[in-house]
Amino acid sequence: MPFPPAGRLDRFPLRAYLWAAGLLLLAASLLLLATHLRGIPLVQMLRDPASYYDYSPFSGMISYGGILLMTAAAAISGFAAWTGLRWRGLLAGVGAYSGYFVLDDLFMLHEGVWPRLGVPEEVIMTLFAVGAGAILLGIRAEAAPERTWGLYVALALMAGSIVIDMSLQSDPATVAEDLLKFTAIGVWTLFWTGVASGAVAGRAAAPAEDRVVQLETAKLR
Amino acid sequence: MPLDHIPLRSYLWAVALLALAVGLLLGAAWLREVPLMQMLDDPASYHDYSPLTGLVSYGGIWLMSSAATVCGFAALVGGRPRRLLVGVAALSAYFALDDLLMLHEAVWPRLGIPEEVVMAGIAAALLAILLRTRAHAAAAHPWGLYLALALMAGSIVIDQVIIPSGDNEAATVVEDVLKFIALGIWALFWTRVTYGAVTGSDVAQRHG
Repeated sequence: MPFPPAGRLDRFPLRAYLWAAGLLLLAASLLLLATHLRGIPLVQMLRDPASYYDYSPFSGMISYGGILLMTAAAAISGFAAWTGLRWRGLLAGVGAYSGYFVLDDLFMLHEGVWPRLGVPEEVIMTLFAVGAGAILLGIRAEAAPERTWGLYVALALMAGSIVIDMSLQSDPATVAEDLLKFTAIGVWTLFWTGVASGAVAGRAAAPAEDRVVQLETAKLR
Repeated sequence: MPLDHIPLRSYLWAVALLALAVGLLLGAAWLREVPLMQMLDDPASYHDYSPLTGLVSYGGIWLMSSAATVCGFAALVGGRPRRLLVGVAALSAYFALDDLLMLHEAVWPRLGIPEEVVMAGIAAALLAILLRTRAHAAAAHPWGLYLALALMAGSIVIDQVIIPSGDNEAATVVEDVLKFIALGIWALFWTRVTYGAVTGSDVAQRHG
């Protein structure tokens, strides 16, 4: 098998990109077709909502900030699970969990979509809690006897946000709830970025020949 | 190797800084008499429209912010070429924010910076990235980057030439679909580059 030149940056052949473009086109076309069949204007699915409905683009800025932070956590965890030398299963789980969290927050899945499909909001919230519990147990097993303070802080802040959401209904309570949720997501992202950098540590900075040794060592594990 | 090598006080500092950022933003909103809930809630919930509105636009933002994060992370952990990865991360992050908050359409012009200047700045940054990538790719062609830029150029031509001449829904659909595919290819290309930057996969293959 011919090997790519050492200086080559991009190792995908052109046809892989053409396939990807075809799949993205297919996905967009199916979405637009479903939109058309439901009598919804296509532009509604394509345009920024702020432009389509003509409201300030800064609306929901803190909510969007949380979504961007959680997207970062999902991307970094997924990438480290793919390229790292350790904790790959845990990072893959965190990538999937964070990725779903983003989609749920952005498209209001647990509030607006799942209930329409017959799945009550409580079931989704329970699954969220089970996912967080599984991640906590997984990381305790990996980290013991050390403490994982970042995860504890993130989960405590998120728990505070959920308690306020379920027990208090007022504007100040909503401000406190959203503030706790935003800081929880920020700490979650910081924590998993630290874990992910540890998972790939030494790999990127090592000379090329050392990487082969690292790869072989990882295979033996 | 400790799993969590960040000390507790760093997390507490992060909480304080994040809370401060939110506090300043909400303070500014309050001074401008913008309802705080408007800044906090999901816009779909606040303005009461379908949460699936803008799905394709959000998909592009999600792809671009993922590309920014992965490139930034690879640069952070020592992936090479580091300066190129930092540049791509910065441009991708700006692109995502610009798209999300309509910066070049609604914000910069209010601050006296015309849309054309912002577009020229993005074009110049893309050209610089293309030239640096060509230099690092040696004799090989970075096809993914070429394809992404060609699709994006097609989208911009439709946006600037065809759509301003009249209300044309078909042109808008083609423009936005081209842009979405361009962002997907951009994210795929840079994810593959960062994979090689972090793992040195060509070396591993040769010895594997």
